[in-house]
Amino acid sequence: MLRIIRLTKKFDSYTVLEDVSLEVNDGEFVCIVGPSGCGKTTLLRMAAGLDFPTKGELFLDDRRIDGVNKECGFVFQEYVLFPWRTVKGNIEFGPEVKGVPVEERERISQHYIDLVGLKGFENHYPHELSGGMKQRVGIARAYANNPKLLLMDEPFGALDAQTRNLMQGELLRIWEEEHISALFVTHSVDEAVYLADRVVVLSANPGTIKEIFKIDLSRPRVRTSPEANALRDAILKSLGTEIKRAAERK
Amino acid sequence: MMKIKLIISIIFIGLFFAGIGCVEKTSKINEVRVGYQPSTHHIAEFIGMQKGWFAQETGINFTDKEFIGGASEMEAMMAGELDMAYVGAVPAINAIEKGLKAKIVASANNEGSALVMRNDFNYTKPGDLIGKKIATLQPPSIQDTVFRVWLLDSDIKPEDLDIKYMSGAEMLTSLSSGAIDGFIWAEPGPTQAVMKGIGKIVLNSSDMWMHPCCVVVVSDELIENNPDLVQKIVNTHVKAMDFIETNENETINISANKLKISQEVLEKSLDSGRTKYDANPRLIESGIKRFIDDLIAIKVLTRQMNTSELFDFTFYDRVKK
Amino acid sequence: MNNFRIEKFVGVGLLLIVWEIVARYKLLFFLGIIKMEGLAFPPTIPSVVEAFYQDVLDGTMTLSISYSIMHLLIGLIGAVLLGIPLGILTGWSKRAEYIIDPIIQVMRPIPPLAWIPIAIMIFGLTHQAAGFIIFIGAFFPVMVNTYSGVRGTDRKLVEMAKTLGANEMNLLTKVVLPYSMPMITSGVRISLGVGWMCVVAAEMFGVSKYGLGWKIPYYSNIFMYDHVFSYMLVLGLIGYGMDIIFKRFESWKLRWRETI
Repeated sequence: MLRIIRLTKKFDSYTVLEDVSLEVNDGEFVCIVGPSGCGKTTLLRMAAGLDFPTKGELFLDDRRIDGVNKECGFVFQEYVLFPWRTVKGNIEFGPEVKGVPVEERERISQHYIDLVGLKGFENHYPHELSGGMKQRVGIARAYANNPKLLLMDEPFGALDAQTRNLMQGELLRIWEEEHISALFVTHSVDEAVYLADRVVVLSANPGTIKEIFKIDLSRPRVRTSPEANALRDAILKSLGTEIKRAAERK
Repeated sequence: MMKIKLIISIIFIGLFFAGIGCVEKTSKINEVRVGYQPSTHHIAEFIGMQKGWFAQETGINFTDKEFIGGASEMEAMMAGELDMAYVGAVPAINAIEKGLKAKIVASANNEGSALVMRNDFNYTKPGDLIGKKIATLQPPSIQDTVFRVWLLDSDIKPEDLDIKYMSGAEMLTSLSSGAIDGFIWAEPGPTQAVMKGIGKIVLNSSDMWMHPCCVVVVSDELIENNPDLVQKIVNTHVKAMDFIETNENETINISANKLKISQEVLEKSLDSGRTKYDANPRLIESGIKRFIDDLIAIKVLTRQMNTSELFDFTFYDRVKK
Repeated sequence: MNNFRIEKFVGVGLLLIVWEIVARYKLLFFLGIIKMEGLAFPPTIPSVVEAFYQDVLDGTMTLSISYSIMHLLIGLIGAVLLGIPLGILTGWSKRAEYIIDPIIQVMRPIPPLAWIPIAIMIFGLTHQAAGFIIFIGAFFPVMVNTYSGVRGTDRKLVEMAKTLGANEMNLLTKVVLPYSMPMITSGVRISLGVGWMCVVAAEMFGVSKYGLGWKIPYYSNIFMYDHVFSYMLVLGLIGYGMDIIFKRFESWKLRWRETI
């Protein structure tokens, strides 16, 4: 379980996040939406231990996050695959540096390659893959790291609309196999409503929690159901004022 | 096809403009350019220049230029930058064979080199040098040729020694650092080595064989277009050579100045009698023939040469004693 | 594809024709560039071929090529062994860069030729001395390229590796080094070229009477330009050949890169 307690982040005199408190329960899928520059990515990075709070603390399963968090699985929008490693090599990276023996590593990577639907592509290099396939590798790699928490920063932002929809479904399918807590940042309210158990709306700078919406719909969800639409409208409205405020500030 | 013609024309136009930059020489001489090397072998040149004799005798301006070795000196003459040169006979012969239009008109010195070995080296016979590192001036050079001829005369194959080529200054540092076992070089090098305690002289080049050394070379152009000038040059040269014998003190003075070394070293060098100053070119004919044969053997010269290609004795013959 | 090849030969062919004309009709003398009519410069193409053939027959060509390559290898191996670690060190640690870089920047412009007396003093008249001169030339490209590669490592890759559990050593060996490999191999290729160009400087002080770098000044001194050109061409062709071979090796090793 991830606990974020009164988190404030300043870069010099510029306050990105102010007094943010949030809990992500075990097995929960939480989406964060907000205008550009509201600190969504910074929040995620601090959960990963790549950045440090100015005030406040973060805890993962009662252990304070202090330095790079090796128990999370990070998925970037730009894939950030190791180009000199094959699909298999990328996925095995985490276990490899943790000293997992070869046969075990093979088993793990093969399991996730199958899970994300990339069977047959084990020995391909990243540059030979499409965007969607690359992100599958990114997800598989995150999972292979045996994480307690998945951190995803607009992972489908670089894909075309159709692939994006497809990948959302794939992500859910994979996630349901192994139900790991997930914190997912996105610009797309549609995406948030489709994927998340809860949607957190962040306000414009400084970023604070404006509203949290609970999505009580059972999965697989129908994107255009009346309940989904209602939620989407509500979230969009909440978000809309923030976007305006962010634009005015500039 | 048009493109090819265009390209060829452009290339030739380029060459043409490059050629225009070069100044054509007229047959009216107002300057004689002389080459020399910093060795006691060329003392006659120092005297002739320093005392202004060349200029006085001919009424023409003489300028001189120093070269590290015969090879670069002959390159300069080949490029038309010198009219006259004091130079080793070996580089001169090679240059003439390769197309230099010039003649040897007098001798500048004979012998005048020595084999210097490490102080702790026990030399008894030529065979002791087998397998040793001996340095000499890069071919084509007098020292290299003289040494080879002597080794062959002594029934030793030069390949059995480890001969290294380098400049004179490098020989001194290499011997003192132990990188070589010995060297053969022209005066005042050997004397300097002894006086600095770097090595000892085990053999004079005259002990190896009586060999020609440096000569005075004059361009065919001067000889054909200004024979009187050349005659006066040879007269002056002979006068300077005589001066070396008769006025040792002043010779030492002038040479010390020019070579930038101490008078002490020069005195020792001249007193050793290692170098013979005799201007007569006829005396060196047979020695030159041995040079030619050796140069052919090591494939520096591509053909045999005869005396008339190399020498012009007429000027020396006419020198009034 | 056919057209492309024909053009390659046209350039060289044209040059050879012009050269032969200039040589045969002594055009350089008539244009006043060369002063001595008898001087065989430039040498005619047949004479160069003849000179090459002679040297191959009596073994000096093979020996010279071997010696030159040996000197190159001595220098290159030294450059790689010292240059890559130093490049990694200065690329990875800013402090190391501040300490070491000024020394490198001052030494870099000094030409290998100037190091000859020092080389002789330290190594004597040995092949190591010749290799040292080549080392001086070959060291800087490989070190500087390694430094660039390491310093330019994508931050995101490093962060990703960290979250996956990599420690400092892992980062170096499993992220930075593989990432920098294209720059490093490129640096080695440049070093190969530069080192080969130093062969004349390395061999001219006479460590041996074989070696392409020795033969060229030697034959220049005795005005035998047919041999000079023969050795110069060999020097150029071997340099070209080595570069091609290395490029092949490079693209095999780095096949994970996207082909543009």
